[in-house]
Amino acid sequence: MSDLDRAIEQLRDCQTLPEQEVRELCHRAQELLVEERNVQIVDTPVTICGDIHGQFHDLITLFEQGGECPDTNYLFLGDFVDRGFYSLESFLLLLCLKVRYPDRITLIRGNHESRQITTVYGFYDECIRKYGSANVWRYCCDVFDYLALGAIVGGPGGVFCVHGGLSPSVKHLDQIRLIDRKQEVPHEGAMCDLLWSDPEDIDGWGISPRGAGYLFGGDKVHEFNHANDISLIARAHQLVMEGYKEMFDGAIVTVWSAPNYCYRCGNVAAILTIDEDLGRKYRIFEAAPQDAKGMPAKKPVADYFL
Amino acid sequence: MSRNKIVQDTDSDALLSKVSAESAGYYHDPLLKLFLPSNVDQGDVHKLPLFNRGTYVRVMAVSRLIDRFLLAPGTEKKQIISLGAGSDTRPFHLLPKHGSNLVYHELDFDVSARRKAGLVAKHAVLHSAVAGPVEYDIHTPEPPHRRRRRSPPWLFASSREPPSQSGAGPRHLHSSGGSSGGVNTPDIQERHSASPGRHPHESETPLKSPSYYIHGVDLRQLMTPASLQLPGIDFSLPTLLVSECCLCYLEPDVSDAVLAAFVKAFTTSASAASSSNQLGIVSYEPFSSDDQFGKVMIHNLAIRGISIPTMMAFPTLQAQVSRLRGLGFKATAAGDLKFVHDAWVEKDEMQRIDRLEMLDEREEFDLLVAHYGIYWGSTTPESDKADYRFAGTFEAWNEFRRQI
Repeated sequence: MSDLDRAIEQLRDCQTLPEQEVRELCHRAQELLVEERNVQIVDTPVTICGDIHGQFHDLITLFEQGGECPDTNYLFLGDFVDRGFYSLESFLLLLCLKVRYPDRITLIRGNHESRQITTVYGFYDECIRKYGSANVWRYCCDVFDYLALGAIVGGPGGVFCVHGGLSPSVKHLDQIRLIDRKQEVPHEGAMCDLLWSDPEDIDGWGISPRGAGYLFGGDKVHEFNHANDISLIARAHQLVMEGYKEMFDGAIVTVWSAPNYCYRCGNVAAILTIDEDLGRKYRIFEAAPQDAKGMPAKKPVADYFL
Repeated sequence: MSRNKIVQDTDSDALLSKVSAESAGYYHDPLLKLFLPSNVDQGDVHKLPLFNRGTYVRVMAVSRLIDRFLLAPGTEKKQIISLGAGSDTRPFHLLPKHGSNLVYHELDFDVSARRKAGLVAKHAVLHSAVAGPVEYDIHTPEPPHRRRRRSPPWLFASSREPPSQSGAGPRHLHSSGGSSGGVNTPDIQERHSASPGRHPHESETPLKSPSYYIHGVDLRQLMTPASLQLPGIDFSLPTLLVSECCLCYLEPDVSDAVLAAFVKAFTTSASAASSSNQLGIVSYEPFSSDDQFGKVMIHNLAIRGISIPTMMAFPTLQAQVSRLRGLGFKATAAGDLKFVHDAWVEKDEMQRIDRLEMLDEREEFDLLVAHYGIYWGSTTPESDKADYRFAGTFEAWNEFRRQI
């Protein structure tokens, strides 16, 4: 059994790796990711997954539902870390799988794969708690900078995959290909918008209530899909109680893969499989029970306004 | 842990949330930090942006309804009765502002009431906010491992002079016993609330002044008009009852009885007869919506031992409003915190809070705050039955946008 296979076994049991192993893993991942394009080309069939947010036990359920990697070809739309209690184990497992089976799993960057956001939303604190220093957080953030910004699934007429959505600065996919992505997520511009924007029932562009990215209407989605010869935009980024939501006559879909988000929201999760004929098949799954194996003795309790 | 203690501990949830929102700049309240336990540093309390924003909306909504009641024209002197007040700082902001035109009563568990009275005695800035002579009656709880005997009551009266310099520490409260424990140590609270020699139904008033009273009383003992005859409560004054996440912890039939007792005492008692129908209520509590989020919330709270019976008994805004109307609040209005966030925060203010923190988790925020309701009602007859308008002392409440 190789070191990688052993690490995968260990992580699947929700156990972290020693700091030195994380360092080596992140280094190998960077060497691999630096060769990837801003917009990765992915073959069908592929199973597209939305936000994970450190909900490790639900990620294990996801693999049970969708099939194990490498048997199933996966594409994750980002937001692996923050909010949940096991960001580290979740991200490292996905990264190990990426290094072990580079052609069977694609990881693209979400807005939480950022130094600034992870210091607010939990991943930084989790690394400090588990290792006593920020080293592992730094190694992971260096990997974040190399993640692809999007993917095209299935060639012409296929599916454009991105974490957030569209940008007023991007009319054509070639404009994404020109971005120098190897940096912290900027506060504005095309790279920021791709990771932060949301579709909305408006015409044209709107100001995002999130403070970054834009709101974009159905007209912008149809224009983009037509100009780039794609039939669907698959994105994540927004909690959907039903797990997925198609908008604008099926021209865009939000896929959300963190069931009972933050152990509080009561939502189901979904994954989307695109087959060889570009057919869409959604699979819905619920949260792993809270007393699942490996949960800490002191149960995590969600915050409320009492 | 006893059910009472679990409910008392929810006050620290509220306090930490407020400290976090205050530190992030959502609102200004320099008094909050005085209520933090000594082992918690203000700088260490960081909640996520969605929590800070939700806390801001909740505090803002209740404060605005109170402010408009106090500033409404009409009878000059008004009264507030705050149920389960906990570490609420509002009296220390409102009393200096309204002088002798305001009488402020806070009702809470005896242990919480004495703790708060102790903090008022300890901090000059709190003590001096209370006008006139202040009478403290703060029993000294002893740590059980050090002393079994209950120490004698620590009593003093003063006028505007604080009993000690602010920041001197709680030690003087223990001078008779020489203990080194803090008054807010949980095991002491627990011990003291069950201490022998005190009749469990006995209510006390550990702080009395002409304008401010802290009553130590179990709300479950307030189910008849006669039981509301606490020191200083004036049934002839226009009065606002405030329940900020308090009555919801009682069984619905018990909280119904408490509210009915207040309505009856203020609308039919001899002293109220000359100027009847002057009771208003501002209530804030979660509701389940009968949806998945509500179910998970009930489950998660149960893990902490917290049960909120009204979440299920009144699962919607409308159910809660109908309940208040059934209890004699003739004019009523309500909105969930999402509605209040969207409808009450002015454009400039929204831009200000938008700049404080990036709110990434927008959908989660909407979902979360849509499960908390603000209700306001008055026994004053409606001036126009068709749209439930407020009249008299509560007329100013008509300016607030309502969801129902």
